Amino acid sequence: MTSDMPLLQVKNLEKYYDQQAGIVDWILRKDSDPVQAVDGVSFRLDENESLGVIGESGCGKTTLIETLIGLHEPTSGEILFKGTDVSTFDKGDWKQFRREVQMIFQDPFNALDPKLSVRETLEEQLKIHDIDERDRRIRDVLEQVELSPVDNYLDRLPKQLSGGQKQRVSIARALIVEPELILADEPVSMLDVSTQAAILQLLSDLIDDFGVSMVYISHDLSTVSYVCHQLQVMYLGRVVESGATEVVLNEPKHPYTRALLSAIPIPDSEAERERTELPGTPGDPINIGNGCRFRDRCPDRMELCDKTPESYALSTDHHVACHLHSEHDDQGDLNAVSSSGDVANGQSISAGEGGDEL
Amino acid sequence: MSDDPLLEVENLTVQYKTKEGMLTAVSDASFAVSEGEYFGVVGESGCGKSTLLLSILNALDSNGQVTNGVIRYKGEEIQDLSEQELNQRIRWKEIAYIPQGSMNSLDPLERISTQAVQLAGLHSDLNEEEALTKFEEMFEIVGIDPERIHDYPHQFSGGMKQRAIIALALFLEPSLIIADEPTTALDVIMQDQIFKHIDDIVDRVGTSIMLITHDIAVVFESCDRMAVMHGGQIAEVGPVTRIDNEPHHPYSTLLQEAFPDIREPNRDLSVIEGKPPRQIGETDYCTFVDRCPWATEECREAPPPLERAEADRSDHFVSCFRKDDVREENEQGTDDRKAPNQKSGSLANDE
Repeated sequence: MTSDMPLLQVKNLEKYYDQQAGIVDWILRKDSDPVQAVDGVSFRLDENESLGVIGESGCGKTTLIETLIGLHEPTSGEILFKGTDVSTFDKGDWKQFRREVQMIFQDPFNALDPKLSVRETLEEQLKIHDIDERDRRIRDVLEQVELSPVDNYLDRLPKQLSGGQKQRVSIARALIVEPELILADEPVSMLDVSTQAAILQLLSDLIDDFGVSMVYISHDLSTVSYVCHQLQVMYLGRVVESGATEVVLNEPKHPYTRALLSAIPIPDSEAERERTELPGTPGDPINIGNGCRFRDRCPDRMELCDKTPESYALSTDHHVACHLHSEHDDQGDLNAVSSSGDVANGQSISAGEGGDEL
Repeated sequence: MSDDPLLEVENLTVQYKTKEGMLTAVSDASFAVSEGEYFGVVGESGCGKSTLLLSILNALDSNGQVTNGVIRYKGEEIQDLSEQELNQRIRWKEIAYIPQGSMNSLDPLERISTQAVQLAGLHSDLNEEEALTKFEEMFEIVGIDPERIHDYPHQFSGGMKQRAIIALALFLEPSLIIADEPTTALDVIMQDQIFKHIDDIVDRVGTSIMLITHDIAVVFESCDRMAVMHGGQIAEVGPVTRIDNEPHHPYSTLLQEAFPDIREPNRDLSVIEGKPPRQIGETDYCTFVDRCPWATEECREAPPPLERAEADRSDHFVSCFRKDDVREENEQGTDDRKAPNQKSGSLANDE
């Protein structure tokens, strides 16, 4: 694999779900509008890199991860794993892919088979992928996830483990087949704060010391800095802001990212944080047409927001899809506005309003 | 906020009958909530905070019972009242409850207004018309269009259902609302909106709130006073500014160090090893002993009494034999903690 080939590349990925139609609609042959769960998501992930996908429930982050691992067929767009489009995979390729790409689930309490001991849980993975030296690998991986002395844990059933220990077993189960990519769906959200730090540390070690790449999904911006190099903020199926973790956390540009950050409680009795003024909740991504999907809740809404904003590069490492920041676009082509009011592909219009002093 | 205690809990012990024996969920807990006060109870899962509030509501599971101590509401002992007395005099009109996951606690088959009228019929003298007018006012307080009281629960989003529950809790003008993790299932923006309404209730309506949560940040931001619970014991109780700035109990200190702060995304987070014990029989030691870096043999020999944190302060109590040493070290910044419990490895992401 050449060094400039990303481990995972996603190009314009779309996943639409058909709505469950009622019987009346079915009789009348009325088509219902699809749910645009993931709509035009692109990113690349290199080796040893971790990408955080942030958003509220319903933003499409779980659909994204499920599509990435092959549970759903994408509606359109490409997923390239080590340069190969997964849609061209045959059965053997999929088996290989399912060894190299592993998942860690949100709820450690339900992610393990209650009837399998720790040893059996890990052994199952090795059997499926036909890997030898099972006993040694099981012991090694348990050491790695700090379940030691190993002999104390091997024969325990999930009910004999605490939440944090269960999550360690889930991580061990993913690690034991030596994956290249781990997809982690809110792996600490169900854990107590006392164990959360240890799991974050473990995930961060996997990336730094074991050469694993990670897509990390979370709704909680306060913990992503411990695991993710890059962030991508999603709103109703679209990426609204992306960039290096530090940049996004320190200089959020999209009004939605700002709202998400400002709503996080601060553990300080003297901090004077203003409560969020953001009205309502995200709607459903059904029949929402053109325009910025955040506009109905956006404190900075302009007329222009009825047109879909392009993703503007604020720097090489920071992109935002918001008209407030369109002046940063170096193409700056004002002729992009066609008579129908649509924005031509790849071009942008100037918002005519300063974005920086927000 | 006045200093009269609205709710007093004294030496409360709550046990559950189990196959292995009596399981102690709350042990010798004491604290008080004043009128108009916003009081937080913080602790991780298994610390006894839900049992504590269920015992106040007299709604423990059938195998649970208050085995010692008293719960006084407006000076009257309420722990032994009958169901009938509780329903007639206390529940909803004096003490209202916002349960955990309460988005799902509305009856899906009834209009929300119907549920409010039923509540008023059972617990107050309001007639239907009065009840509806009043319920509309409550909707206004929680920021929902009053015309929507006649909606069914499914017509509301998750956050609106949560606010409707808060409106129901407020409805009969209770003096105390007990909220158990009212925002756990909600996203951070919705959580903030809900807490804004709860702030308003404390400010405008003057109701006391007892907020049970695992989120120390929420309590530090909003509450006046707080209790920290661990393994059924009250570790520390006092004003939030004191517990934030001058924690005396090791658990309060470690909990703060473990909590992420968005303002310092690279700060090391500490890990508190282990979990609260499952206590069969009387609790006769400090339940934090196996997780505490400061623990000594003394801590295993008897439960630490809840005492004044400092002799000259009557509003801050802590139950720790080593509180003075812990405090001194925290102040000097020296660290006398022992391995292996202390494990705040580098979690910083340098790249």
